[in-house]
This record gives sequence, C-alpha cells and structure tokens, in this order.
Amino acid sequence: MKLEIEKRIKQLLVSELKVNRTVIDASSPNAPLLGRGIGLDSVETMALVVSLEEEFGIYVPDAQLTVDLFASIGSLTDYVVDALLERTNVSVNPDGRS
Amino acid sequence: MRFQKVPAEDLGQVHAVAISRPTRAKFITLYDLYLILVCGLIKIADQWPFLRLRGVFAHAAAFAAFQLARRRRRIREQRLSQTLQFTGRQIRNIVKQSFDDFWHDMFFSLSPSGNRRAGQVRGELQGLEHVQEALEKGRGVILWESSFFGRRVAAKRILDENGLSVSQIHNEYHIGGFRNSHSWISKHLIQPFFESCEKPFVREIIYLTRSDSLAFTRVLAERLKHNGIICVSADGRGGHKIIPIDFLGRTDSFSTGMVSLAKLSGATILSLFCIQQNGGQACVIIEPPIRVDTEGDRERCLEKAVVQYASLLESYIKKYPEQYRNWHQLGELEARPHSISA
Repeated sequence: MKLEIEKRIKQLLVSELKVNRTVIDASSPNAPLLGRGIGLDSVETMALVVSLEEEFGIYVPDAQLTVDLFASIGSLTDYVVDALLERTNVSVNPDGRS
Repeated sequence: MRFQKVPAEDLGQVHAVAISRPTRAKFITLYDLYLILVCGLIKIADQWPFLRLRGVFAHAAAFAAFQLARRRRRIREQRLSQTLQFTGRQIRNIVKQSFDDFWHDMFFSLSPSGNRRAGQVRGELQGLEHVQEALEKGRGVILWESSFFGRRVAAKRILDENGLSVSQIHNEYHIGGFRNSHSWISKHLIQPFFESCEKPFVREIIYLTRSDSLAFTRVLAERLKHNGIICVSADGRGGHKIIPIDFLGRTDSFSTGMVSLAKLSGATILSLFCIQQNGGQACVIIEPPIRVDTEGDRERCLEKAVVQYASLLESYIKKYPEQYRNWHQLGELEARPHSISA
C-alpha cells in the first residue's frame, strides 16, 4: 500500500503541480518537498494537500499542516498511510470496541 | 462601480495565523527606546491640526536622522552610485531627500487615532479599472506591493477611500518598516501602535508567523475564494521558496508563493505602487495584471511572473530613487551567473 501511495503522490506532483517528471523520477523518498529538492513553495504544498484529501478521502487539520509534513515524499506518504489506517480503524470500530 | 464596504465594526480585524514557538526575549532594548520616542512624536504630530507645523516637525526629524545616520548615508550613497548614473551631488541630494521622504511619511501618513484630517489632500488612485476587471472575474485579487518602496499605509488609506477593502498580509515582526528587536516592549507596545495606524483602513491584518505551520495558505485561499483582495509584499524575504533575481545591478531574492497562489486560485496579481508626488499628494498606481503562465515549465513560469514585478519595481525606483528605503541592504545574496534578469 505504501508504495502505491508514494507512486500516487508523485503522479499528483506531476499532474496537479506540473513538477517536472524527470525531477520526480530522479528523487528518492527522502527528497525534500518544500523549498529544496522537489522545490515546492508553501502554497503548492497546500494544493498538494487538497489533492491528497480528494484522492484519499482524508482531511489534514491545520494543526498538522506543518513544514515537517513535507520534509520528504516519504514523510508525506507515511502520513497518508497513517490517516488511511486510522480511518479504517474508525470505520470498523466506530464505538471503539474491539 | 462602487464596492460594498465592509461594515465599520468589521474593519481593522487582526488575525494571527498559526502559533509562534515561545522564545526568550528581552523586556526592552536601546532600539526600543528610540522607537518609543518615534511613536511619541507621531502621536503628538497626529494631534496637531496644522499641516504646515507637521511639515516643519518632519523636516526637523529628517535633519536629525540625516546627521546621526552617517554609516547608513554612506552605504546608500555607495549603492546609488553603483546603480544609477548620477553625479555625486545628485546622489547626495537623493540620499538627503530619502530621509525627508521617510519622516514625512511617518508624520503625514501614520495616524494612531485613524483621523482623516480636515484639509488633508485626498490621495489619487490610478488603475482602479484593473481591480474592477479582476473582481468581475470573481477569483479575487492579489495586490503586490513593495516592503521598501513607497508609502504603504497611505496606499491603504487611498484604497479605502475608493471603496477597496483589503486583507493586509504582514510577517509577524512587521512594525511599520522599522527593525523589530523582538522584545516584550516591541511586541506589546510598539507593534500595536503601528498596527493602530493601519487598522482603520484595512478589512483585517493577517500576520504570517514564523512557526512551522502552513495553515496560513488556507486562509489566503479562502479570502480569494470569496473574491477578496489581499495585499502582500512581493520583495519581503519571507517564504519557503525564494528565487534569485538580478535587481538594480545586484542579486536579490523574491518569493514565489503568491504566483503559485494566483496560478492555483485563478486570482489576478496586480502590482501596486504608492508614490509621493511633488506638492505632497500621495498617488497609488495599480499596474495592469502580471501575466501568470499556467502551462509550460513550472519553475520558468514562476520566475517569469516574479521578473515582471521586479522589472516594474526597478523602473519605479529609478524614477523615484529617494522613495526606496532599502539601498543600504540591497542585494544580500551573492550574484549568481544563472540568476534571472529583471
């Protein structure tokens, strides 16, 4: 699942933010997203978040919309994975019972 | 077209987006004492009904500052001589005028009581049609102003007089163009003073804090979604992504965030300049829209838009060099061979 999500994030960077495909293909999961590396600015990170929210049906609260979230493609991927798992846990056990 | 004015009780709202990390700060510094004196003088001048007396006061403050700031004068003269083809005498006059211009701005544009003074000449606004056309598209407007050129508070007053209510964006340490000592006094006394001079003329002030939060981007997008007008500095050094641009013969940095915001939201970017004309009247000039390409190489699109603004700003500075306040800090970045030319 993690690899699929990472792949999808990279696709969104190209399709939604028009990041150069060769830059993405050459980037490792540790490549920074903000400022350096992929080189997004703060507004583009918000646009990426909006795309992720629509794509995966998650919501990123303001408190978690921080620089750390965009430390790398890997960190963003981990966040989405965690958000999806949490959503799955909530939907399976809506009242918290096992 | 007359625009819907924000009700008076909603004017001057202040929002701080994101929470700063707590830092240890001094209570007061020597520089704060200087600023307290400046605030006191502005407050006294605000109470004077006679504009001519206020002018004398501004001249006196400019003269004192000119005499005391020898190092800054020297650096300005040096930078001007490297940038503009003027004689030594002309350059010295420009530097002297720059002190005059600054203190006139302080004593004539800033009014902590928000007074619209009787007898004060109503400012001129050129380019209103660009704002009207942009607002008719319904995607909002981004007004790009310079942190270091022209009269920012006077500009907001003139916009307000013409029915334009803006959301003003500042970095969290903004205090009317002065350096922030980050002391307790600066945060709780000096900054609120300068804020009170601007609040009456804007819809709200949004402070971008230096925390790690990026939530402010949602706030800005929300304002534009409701066809609002946001006013932001184009040449401030904030921003997570800045690019080097050849500017006034050196390399300076400009951030790309607002270009991305325009691309993604469909908002129109308009450059705003507020100049002091001969005779003392302030004039706001809103230039035609900055062209923002949405197709093509992303980096190149961002750079092209920023270069358009830098080029405009450079032309205004060359025409009104005494109204540019950053000669002494111009080009902090080393010149790079691949930097983009304005």
